[in-house]
Amino acid sequence: MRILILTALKAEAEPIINALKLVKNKTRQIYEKDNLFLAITGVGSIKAAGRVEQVLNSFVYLGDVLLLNIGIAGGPQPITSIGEMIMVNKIIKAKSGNIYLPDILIKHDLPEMGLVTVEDSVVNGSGDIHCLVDMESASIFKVAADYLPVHRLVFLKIVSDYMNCQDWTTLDIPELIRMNLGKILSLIELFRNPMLAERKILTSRDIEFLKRKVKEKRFSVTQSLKLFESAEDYYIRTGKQLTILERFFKQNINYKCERNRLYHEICQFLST
Amino acid sequence: MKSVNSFLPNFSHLYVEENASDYPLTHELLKRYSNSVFVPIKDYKTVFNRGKQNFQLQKRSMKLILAVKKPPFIYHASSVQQNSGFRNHYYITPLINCLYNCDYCFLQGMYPSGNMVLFVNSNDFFSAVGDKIQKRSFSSEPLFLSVSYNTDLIAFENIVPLSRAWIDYCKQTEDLILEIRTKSALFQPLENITPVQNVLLVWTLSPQKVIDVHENNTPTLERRLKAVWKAIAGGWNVRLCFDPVIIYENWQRDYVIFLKQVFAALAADNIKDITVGVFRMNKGFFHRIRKQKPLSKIYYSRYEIYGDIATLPSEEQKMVREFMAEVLTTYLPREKILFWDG
Repeated sequence: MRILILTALKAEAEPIINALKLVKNKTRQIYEKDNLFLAITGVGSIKAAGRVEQVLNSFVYLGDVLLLNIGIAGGPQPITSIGEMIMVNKIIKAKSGNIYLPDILIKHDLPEMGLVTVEDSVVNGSGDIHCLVDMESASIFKVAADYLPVHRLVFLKIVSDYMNCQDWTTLDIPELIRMNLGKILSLIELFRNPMLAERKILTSRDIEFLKRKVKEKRFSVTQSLKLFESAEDYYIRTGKQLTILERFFKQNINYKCERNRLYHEICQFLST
Repeated sequence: MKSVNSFLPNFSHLYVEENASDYPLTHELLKRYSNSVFVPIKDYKTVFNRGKQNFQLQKRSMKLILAVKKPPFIYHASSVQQNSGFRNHYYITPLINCLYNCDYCFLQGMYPSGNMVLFVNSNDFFSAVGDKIQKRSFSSEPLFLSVSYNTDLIAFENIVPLSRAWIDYCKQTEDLILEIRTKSALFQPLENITPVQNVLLVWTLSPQKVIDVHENNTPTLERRLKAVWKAIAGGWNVRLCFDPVIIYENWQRDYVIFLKQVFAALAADNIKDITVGVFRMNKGFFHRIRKQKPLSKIYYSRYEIYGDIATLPSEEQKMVREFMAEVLTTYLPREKILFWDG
């Protein structure tokens, strides 16, 4: 599994970058090392949405990517305490009332709570708000859910204030993250669970082989999808590599009708 | 090496629809699962119908959703279900999804989620069934109602005694035959109920080899047979269901041994009838499951499409029918054996 960490602020990212020894990839503007990636989205819904889309588009394959949003949030008093890390189980966008629900499947020992994403920061105390408050989660979820399944969207929030902070510069955000680094690293290990990834039936070699041939012979999108599915069925039933199809691809194709005939010949072979 | 289950236990989370929060059943369950995380929701569909859920992963950590069912409460049975000759064949869904996870189950193609939905407004279901009995199309025949079609109600009995509630309802209702289908070994919660003649308890049985490979989380054959035996001894009408018969190398040999085991444990004379069928599924459900690349090999085999149904080629269906008829007629008369006709 590859873990993509998103934070809104550089101050939230730095302790994680240091702990994981991530290195900046200047082309993608992503910090990375091995299968760990970190991107900074900026503050607020609009910035976050654009950046999430950009980052996710930079991955060629997303079947093994888990998005982990880590950041500070306002917490309701007296049910949360400063520095406490909470797993978010429900996100409401205050402006639209839209609800987003991450699918929490993996065992963890954090408290859970809902969260409201607001447009402007709440500074007059939690009052009637009985959940966390932040400024990005809803838009991150909304965009990311087009790319990733809901069990691979995880939101961790660290309570930084009781929604009464007038001056953000007074918060020691790196310290709030550092206090929870041990837990964050343990959770990253839990989320590396390969069962959470999309199942790959064909080997990378077979996928590459088939992709190349599909392109060469100019199969249609529908034909290509069906071919991959039939190839998977064949592989599960026989355990044989797809290079066995090489002889079919030796044919020269000049016309659409020849391509379609070849497609049917291969499908027939794969289904026997 | 000891394997570690990294998934949260079933019902680690209870999602409760706003409308459901005042029902007594909701209060009971919230009390019972007080250690679970409670998440209030507006409509159960916001969690159950979310996009991009993974049914099979969710089966490893099922969540319970409590909701209020809106009409329709009762549905006409499809051609995939065996109607046992009843033309007024309907089903209801007091519970969606199942504690078990059989490879061949259509639920994984029917629903976007592996989580369970319990509808807490049972009285609305009773009223709807009462209405349907009055308005049934073939008034000379009773209404045949499957209450365990999209779930296994008896397996859930220790959590919510819905089977008992439906049996009680049936006891007081004329022109109703109730079918409760199960793979459960749990008969104890029903043991102290006086048998009701218009209730049919149906046990699906399979060879242990099939159970081990394809019927995840279900009780062993031996345990199921004990439950069936208790039901028969208690005076209940019992149907056995060998459906689907799974074809694999040497399946005939295993099914001969299996049927011998079944009829050694149960007196064939005491069984009301038997239904036999092969793997079959609405083709849309089948393709939806296949798309998720399940681990079960069932979805990578070759099937024929007959109308809307993906099933075995007709020659294989015929082979199963002839084989099962031949073996079963050594135990009970042919007229007691019903086959699903593809």
